[in-house]
Amino acid sequence: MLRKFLAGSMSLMLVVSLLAGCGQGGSSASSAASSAPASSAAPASSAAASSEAPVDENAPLFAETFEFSIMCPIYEPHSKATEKMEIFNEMAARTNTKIDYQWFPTDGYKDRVTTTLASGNIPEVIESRDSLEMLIEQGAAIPLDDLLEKHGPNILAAIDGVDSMLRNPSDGALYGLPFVLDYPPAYSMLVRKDWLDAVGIEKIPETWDEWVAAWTAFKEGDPNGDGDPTNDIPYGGDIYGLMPAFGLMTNTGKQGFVINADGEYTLAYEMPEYREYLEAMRDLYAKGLLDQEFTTRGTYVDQLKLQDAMFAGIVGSTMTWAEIAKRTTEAVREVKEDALMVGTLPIVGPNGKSGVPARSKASNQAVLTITAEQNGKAEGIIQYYNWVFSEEGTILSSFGIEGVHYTLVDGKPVINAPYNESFVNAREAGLNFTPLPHIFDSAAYEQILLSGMDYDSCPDTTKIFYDALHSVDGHTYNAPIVLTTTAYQENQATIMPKIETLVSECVAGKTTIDQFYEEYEKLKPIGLQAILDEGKEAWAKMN
Amino acid sequence: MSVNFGRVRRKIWQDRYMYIMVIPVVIYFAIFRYWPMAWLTIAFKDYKILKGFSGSSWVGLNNFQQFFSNPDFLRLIGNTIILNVYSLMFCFTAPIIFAILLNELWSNSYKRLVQTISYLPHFLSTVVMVSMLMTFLSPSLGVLNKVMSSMGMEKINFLSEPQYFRSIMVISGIWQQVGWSAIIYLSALTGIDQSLYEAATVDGAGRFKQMWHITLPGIRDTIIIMLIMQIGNLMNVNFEKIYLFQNPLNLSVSEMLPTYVYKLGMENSNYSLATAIGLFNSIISVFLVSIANKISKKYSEVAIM
Repeated sequence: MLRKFLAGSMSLMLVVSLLAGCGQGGSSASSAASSAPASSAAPASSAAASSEAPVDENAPLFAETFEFSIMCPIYEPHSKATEKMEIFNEMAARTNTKIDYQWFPTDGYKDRVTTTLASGNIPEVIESRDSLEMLIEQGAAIPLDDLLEKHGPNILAAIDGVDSMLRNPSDGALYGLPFVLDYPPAYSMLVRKDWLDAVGIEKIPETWDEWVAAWTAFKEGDPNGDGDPTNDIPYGGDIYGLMPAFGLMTNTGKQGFVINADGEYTLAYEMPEYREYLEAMRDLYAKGLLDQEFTTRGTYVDQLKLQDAMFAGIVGSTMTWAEIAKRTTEAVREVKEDALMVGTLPIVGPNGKSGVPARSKASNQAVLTITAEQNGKAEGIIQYYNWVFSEEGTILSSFGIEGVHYTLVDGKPVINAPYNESFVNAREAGLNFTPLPHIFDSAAYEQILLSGMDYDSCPDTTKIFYDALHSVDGHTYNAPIVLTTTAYQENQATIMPKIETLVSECVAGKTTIDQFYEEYEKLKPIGLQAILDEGKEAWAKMN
Repeated sequence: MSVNFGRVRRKIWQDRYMYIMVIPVVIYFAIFRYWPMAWLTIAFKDYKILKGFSGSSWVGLNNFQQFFSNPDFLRLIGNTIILNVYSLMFCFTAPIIFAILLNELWSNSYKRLVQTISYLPHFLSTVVMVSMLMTFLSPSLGVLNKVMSSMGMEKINFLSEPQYFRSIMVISGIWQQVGWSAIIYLSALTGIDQSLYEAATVDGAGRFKQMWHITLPGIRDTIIIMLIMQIGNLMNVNFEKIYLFQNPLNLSVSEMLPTYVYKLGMENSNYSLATAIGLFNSIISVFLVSIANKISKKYSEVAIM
């Protein structure tokens, strides 16, 4: 009897667990709407406040609760904000919306978007940073130009002057709701000042020759003082950050797109300066001055791995996010009190060229899907985001709720402690919630950057960050975006890794420079030439 | 020939618990293995997710032609097969040797301890395992290079040298799976008649001769069945592990059919071409398994079909 019972219950358990595995994973959270009861998805046009009735300034954006769903990735420290939903709920209350937030982990989010499309159960809005081309190509994203013209003046104003960079190269249409932060400095050349002191270099290097001399001194000495002269990395991270020193003002990534002297969009490998750059990189690698793991860690390769090496105190210099200067100093000071990583001017290359890519003012963040169109919610969603991009919405996104997250001082919002103490604290509270489209006010950015103090009262490590960030003032350049033309979409996953391999093999001395160009040319008939041609044409149209 | 339904019903009722136990497996295979086969038609279409099957245009064998004319075609097949042959040589034999060695241990408690420790790596997720190995092998932060450096040896960037890639895959595969894979052989070993060993001892056979003439023949059928199944997997690899270990410097040996399919399908959104390659992969696998099965049937009378 017991045997029968066990066999039966085990079978039942197996069937249940098997079927449970078929269910949808992930979690979702809904923002609470205001006191108004939730109605079914009413057409936004009829629900919107833009009726002919007298306008009540305190009235919410929508007369009837407007509902829609959004799929987006969640990552630390933002996930904390989704536990309390404080700012989300405030937004919902002020606009009379009910949003079904479907959060998914960042890892595998791109695949999740693909499988969501395949499932047919498509949310009305999808966070799309890494999937934008795919969503457009599959016909899942709808063009927003007409909708923005009618209902999104605040959104259009926020991207004024940079909208051409956000348009889809194939049809020139805007598909993305943006994230906007108008604060150009972001990256900086960083160097361990204590390492320079340890090897007897007083002046922070500026020219290529001075940097090579410093890197050589790092290599020959034991600047981190741990008794192991073999573990000091003179220049850590990938090789892409050194391209501007050779006049190759590339996009912020490893694809290598640049604008040439004739104003044409092309790849850095097509530029005459690239040969000189390759020679220099090969030389650095052969002498052990370049990170031997440049293919697996860096600003544009695997930022976390670069940070690990920097925090371990084995990296002497690199080009990366300026913020890392502060965090490296703090991390290394736990074992070495005099550790100090500082921001410097960008390296002036052999031909006098230099530069650091500026932070893009705006980037495409989320798309409206065909579901929004089919459900008649597209106009309402744009109206909602137009509110998010209004002054009121920007204050809520950047400073939070008055009396909770900020206080008005002389009529200006000032973020309260502890939210102003670090970007982590701010993000945990829901400020600058980057998974979603919004404007992050540059004043709020600076307040958090300086931990709510003025520069002179800041702790040393905060000053290090601020100085690193502004060390490049006047030396930044606007990097071209990656134009996701049809040819790029169709070939990038196979062509771009091949180019990366060719470059890496050449830098590591496994092939010669001539072999690199020989193999590079072979890629043109199988998709590379199409990428170049379509990119050039799209850029010319956009400009 | 008439079917005696009453007898069949009685037989089914008699074995009803076995049938109940088998239901989850049948459901699993029906849902996850056979039902998706209907989607293989994607390989013959220019599939667009939102257009669906009926809306996507029919392109016949274009996707297969595109794959066969791809300059990477031979390299992808070669890389996949070479790694799998290495795995077959080392990862397949290691659990057999391990199980036999374990079987030779006198102390049962020590045997259980070794067995438990050998299982542990199996339960590590691939991502964690790869992350551990990458840190371990790193020339700047890794323990192995630190040891090598302290012994006056040159540091080696194992992860970026293509010649080490397959060895890393095989060695890490053995480390992670040897204990777990040995279970089936250990269970086969328990089925060997102990009187055979007693008789062999009386006849003066030593431990090695007993192993050679009794133990190995005793688990031969299990080995052959596992081998046939392994041959069927010659075109497959541990996708996650390979993908996570890939970097531009080892891509010449680390790009394989499954990783290429992933890049085409998930990164390039070219689902049709990815499915065509997957289908080609499966056909080759079925062919290989059939050949292995036939050979085995002919020479050892052990087969899975």
